[in-house]
Amino acid sequence: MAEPELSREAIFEELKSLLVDLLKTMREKDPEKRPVISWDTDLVDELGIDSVETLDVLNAIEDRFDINPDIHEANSKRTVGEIVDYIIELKKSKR
Amino acid sequence: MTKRVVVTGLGVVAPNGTGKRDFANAIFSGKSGVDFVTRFDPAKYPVKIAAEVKSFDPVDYMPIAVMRKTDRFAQLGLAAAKLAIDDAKLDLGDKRFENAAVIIGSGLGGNNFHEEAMIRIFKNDDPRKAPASTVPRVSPNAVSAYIAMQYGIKGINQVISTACSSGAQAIGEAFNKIRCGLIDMAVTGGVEAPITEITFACYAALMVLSSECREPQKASRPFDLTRDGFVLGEGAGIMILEPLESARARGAPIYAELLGFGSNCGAYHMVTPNPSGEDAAQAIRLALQDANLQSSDIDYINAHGTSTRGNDVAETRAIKLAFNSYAKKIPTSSIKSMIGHTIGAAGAIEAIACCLSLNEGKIPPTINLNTADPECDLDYVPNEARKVSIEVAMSNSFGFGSNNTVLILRRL
Repeated sequence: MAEPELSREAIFEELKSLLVDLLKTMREKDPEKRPVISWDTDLVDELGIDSVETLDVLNAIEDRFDINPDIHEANSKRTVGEIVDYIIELKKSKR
Repeated sequence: MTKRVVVTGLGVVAPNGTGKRDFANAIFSGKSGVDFVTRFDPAKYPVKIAAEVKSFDPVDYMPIAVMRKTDRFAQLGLAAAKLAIDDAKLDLGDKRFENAAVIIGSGLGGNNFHEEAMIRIFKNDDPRKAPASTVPRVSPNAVSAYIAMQYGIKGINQVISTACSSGAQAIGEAFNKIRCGLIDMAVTGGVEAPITEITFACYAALMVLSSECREPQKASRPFDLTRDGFVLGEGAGIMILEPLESARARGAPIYAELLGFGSNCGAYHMVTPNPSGEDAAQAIRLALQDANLQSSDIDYINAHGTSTRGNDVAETRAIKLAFNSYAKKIPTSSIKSMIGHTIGAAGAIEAIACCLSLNEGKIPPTINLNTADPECDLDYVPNEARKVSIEVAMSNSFGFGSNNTVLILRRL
């Protein structure tokens, strides 16, 4: 049986929890400094991920959403919203 | 003309205390940091105790972006480095320190992430499950590199790995480089975080760990007749070394002058120390020569004292060979009785203990020493700290692979 299709909002929430987990954002003791992850959050500028962490994030996305992102194309996505749309695109093309 | 080198900052993260104040209180009151393993479930392990650093939160010492990219060994090192740099009141923008170095000892590097990667690969039967960030996290020089990055220290950057003497070896190397004028300052010491599922199992398999399982705090008993192995520990000890003239010019606290460094290899066995103690005695002689001191100048020996049958007898013989009849007059204690064996961190944490002893006029005890071993017949300062003014302290560190390293420090 095919998996029920995830809404754009649901993918956003999943991706957000994946990033919080991987980037340990909740470990920041000062709640004011804790990064808020929204649709237009920039992964590099706002969450400070480097080139090596990008690979870890990509692997985690691959596992969580059962897709095969193209590394070069994925690298051009900078905001959370862009990544959500890329995930939707890949899930559609898989179907 | 070589430069005189002094210790101007102390940073310690040890199983029985973090920061020089807590650590000093702990070692002079005989407080053990040994307990049951909590970093993983030890139920299936033949050994269930270790000396873990408790309530350590890396976020107190580094930004989240650094914390999440570093293995525990590097985090302990970054924390101790911060404590030492703050303690020395170092201004890293100071022109005096343009040519500063970071030289750290670590026997094992980043085990936590190495093991995590292995477990992920084998559980999934898929080599593609290896996290991309594993290599930069597990590299032994991740600790020296992150210290350099955090503080912008752009001179020589090294990690020295000589097993259980790594920390002392690193300090000796930094000492040599400063006295020869190669560098202006060093952040130096040792780190280790070996209490991980696979590494811990491997140490247990080697039959070098104490099998005590009822009273963890009594497991590490160096020089006691009933000793049955060491307790694996984790931690970090970092000190700031600089030339005496720069320390005086900037009004820095001066804990001690580093006077001598003796280092050799017994070329005997990868694990067992040479029972004659001759090679370790030679390292002690080299350090005495380097410091230009006589046997009778040494007021205290901080022993390697691991609590294994082999080390404690061989070390006792080495001290007797090097000091002859004077050996029994020198108070000699092992703080491993309290903090276990922190491998690459041990020599550095023990050198810090020597600095504290010189400054406080107290010798830390060898706790759990209740039954005399006829083959260990020196003055081991059993069970209670001793108040005595000391001028010169020696710290012994002997590593797997017959690596012997001896440091001598003097109160200024």
